[in-house]
Amino acid sequence: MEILSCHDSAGCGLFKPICAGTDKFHSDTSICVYRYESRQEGFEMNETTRTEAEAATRSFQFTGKGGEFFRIWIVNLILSILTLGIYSAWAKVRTNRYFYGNTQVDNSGFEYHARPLAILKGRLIAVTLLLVYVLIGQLFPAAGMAFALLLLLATPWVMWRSMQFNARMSSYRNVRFGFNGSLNDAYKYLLYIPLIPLLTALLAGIVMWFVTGNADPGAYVPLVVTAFLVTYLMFPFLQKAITTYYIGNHRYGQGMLHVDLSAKKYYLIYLCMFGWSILIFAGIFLTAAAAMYFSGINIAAMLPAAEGEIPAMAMAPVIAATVFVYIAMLSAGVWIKAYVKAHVRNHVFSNIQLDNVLRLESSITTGRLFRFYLANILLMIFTLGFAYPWIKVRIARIMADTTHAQLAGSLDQYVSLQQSRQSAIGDEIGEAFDLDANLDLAF
Amino acid sequence: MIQGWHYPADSSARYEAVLSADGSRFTVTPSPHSPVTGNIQDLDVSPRVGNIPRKITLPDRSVFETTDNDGIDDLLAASGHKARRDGVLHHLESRWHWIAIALLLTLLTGFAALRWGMPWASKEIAYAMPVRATEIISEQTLDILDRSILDASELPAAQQQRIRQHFEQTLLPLQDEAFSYQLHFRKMSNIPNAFALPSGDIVITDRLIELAANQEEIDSVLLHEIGHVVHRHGLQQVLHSSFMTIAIIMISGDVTATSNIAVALPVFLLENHYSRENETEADHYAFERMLDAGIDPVYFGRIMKSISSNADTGKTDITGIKETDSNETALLKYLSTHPSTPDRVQQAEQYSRQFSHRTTQ
Repeated sequence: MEILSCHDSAGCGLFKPICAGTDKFHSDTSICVYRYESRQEGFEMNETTRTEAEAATRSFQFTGKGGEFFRIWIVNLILSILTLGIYSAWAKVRTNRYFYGNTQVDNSGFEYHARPLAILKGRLIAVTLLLVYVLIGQLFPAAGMAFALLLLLATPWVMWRSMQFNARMSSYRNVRFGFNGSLNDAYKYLLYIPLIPLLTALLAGIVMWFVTGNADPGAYVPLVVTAFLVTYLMFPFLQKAITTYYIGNHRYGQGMLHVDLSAKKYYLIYLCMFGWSILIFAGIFLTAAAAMYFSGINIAAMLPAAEGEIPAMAMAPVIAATVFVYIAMLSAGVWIKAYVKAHVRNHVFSNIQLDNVLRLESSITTGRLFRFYLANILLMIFTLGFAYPWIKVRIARIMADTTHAQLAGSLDQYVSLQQSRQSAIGDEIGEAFDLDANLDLAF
Repeated sequence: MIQGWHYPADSSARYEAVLSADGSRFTVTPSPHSPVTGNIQDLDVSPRVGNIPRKITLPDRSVFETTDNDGIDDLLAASGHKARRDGVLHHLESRWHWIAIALLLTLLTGFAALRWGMPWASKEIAYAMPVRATEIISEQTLDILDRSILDASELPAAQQQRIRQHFEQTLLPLQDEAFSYQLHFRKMSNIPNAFALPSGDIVITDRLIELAANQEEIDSVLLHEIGHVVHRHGLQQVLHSSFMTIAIIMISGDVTATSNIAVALPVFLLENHYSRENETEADHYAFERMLDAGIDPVYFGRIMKSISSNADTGKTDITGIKETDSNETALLKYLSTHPSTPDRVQQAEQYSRQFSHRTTQ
């Protein structure tokens, strides 16, 4: 039996995948498919597990339903309102249990174990901090900045605690996950390295100021611009490093998760994104310009008339063009987001393995995510946000449908490790300030 | 007989198993192993959420897991187990009449909080704030404005002195609030504008004074700004937008939600609505004080018109938008932070009739 594996193609879709035209080209997903055996070093199976492995592709499934989750969501919402937010801790637990429990692979669901009271405590602290931050920011902008700086310094710690808490509170088949990452590494990847270019520029600026005594701010502009440019150029590398830190330090019982990501692949994805963006935006402007030109509207001729009355009839094509450009730009932005998300997710998920027992596969397409995002915007606007539960269920289903696990052994051997108890404080501060959203890895 | 899986304590190994109850005793029978029995009351049953698998922890810390939620609920009810009370939430979540009530209540409370709750709370807190606090807030604001969009006034010192003296001796006695009012002259490129900070600092731009045909027109604008201070509009707006931000973050659980267009647009429209109400309130305050001081309110209408016809140079805070058209569309009204100029002029004329009525008596 053939076991599929998405090996990354040249990636862009701007070019044809290297395997196009061969039997390895998978037309649905435009990716190259190789035989499992040729895939990866360090993933060798011993004789006893080989027979089992040959038939062991397991699909993820999401068994939740929009209507069912809507009922849970609306009860959560009204009880949270009626209890002035206190119930929101219970709401969070119920929501997470619903999504974990309905995400299944190999006939077993995941489980979420956090206790509402622990979450409530953390949430109260987070809300207090948020109130202080918003009020200070509105009333005393300068003090608000200092407070924001303090929060920034605390961010890696909060995220680190949040990762530990979430891992410990999750289980699959009666065995808990865990997180082993060090606090030092959290600071390294989340704070120190991202700030290197700006701090270097600051230092260089101070040295320059001492040497030349140049007080003209204009002289320092190139330095700042370079620093920001380098920061942007570092982004794919950082994303790879943070993802590796986050996933690679996860445990399942006594087993370790491994992830083998390539920075080159990340740069390729963003390079392609950049190429596509230029093509798309150029296309939109050319279309709009051509339409204006052929419909005989001359913007320049209208400008002197702007002081007087412009007849509404003459404005109509201009308004139509503006609306077209706006919608096209919005869709293009959404498409680019879908492109990056799909490619990064496929790369990450297809390179995760648990010991030498299980490997994940992901094959989500840009088109599918793009249609999903676009529909969401419309749904959220026209239902005043009440479509939210259906949207959440739909994305969970899409993600599950496009994820597969390949079993090369038995999952029976794992046991939960004893763990010290910790409070939910880091987790909840993280949630109120949405710190872990950028990791965007939650299944 | 409930079908499911049995997991030994802390282990991922699983065995097909059945759970059966007999009186107050339960028995879990994993297929290749010997049965586990005990008292039903000692079972730890996870609360039901939708139809996710139910987890039952046995006294020996092994786990029985099943998708037969109804079977477990029946067992809990029949044995009087304490976990049957956890079913209340699931009951609420599965009956459509409860859902309908929850939906209605959510819409009502959401509407009431937006419509009355937040404005009321902002107002109460704004009026309760000590004058000293408003000063601390405003100090920084004027500094920042001076560094960004405001320049020093180019009006002759004598003219500034005359207007300031008039402001302090004639206009301020018209009210008895404890604010330490300060009149500041500034240049804001070529824009006619005037605005007030919560502390009572009032800024008026050179262009506005140039546009004013007489002292009465300047007075009307300054009284309008005093009206903003007296009614604590600046503070109310700061508080109101803070509340909105917090509410959005709480509901969506997401700080970035405030930049989402689906959320930002209604918020923007709502803020503008309250802004228009504030402007009208300040207008009325100015009209009343003008009547007290024996100034014809029609001057306010006149300066509004002058500003409007000058307004193609840019946005101004006192008229808000540069439309002079009386057939302003309804849409434009919602987008505006200020009431339309024709409406305000009309109001001024109405008060003016009151004024001439009074003076002829």
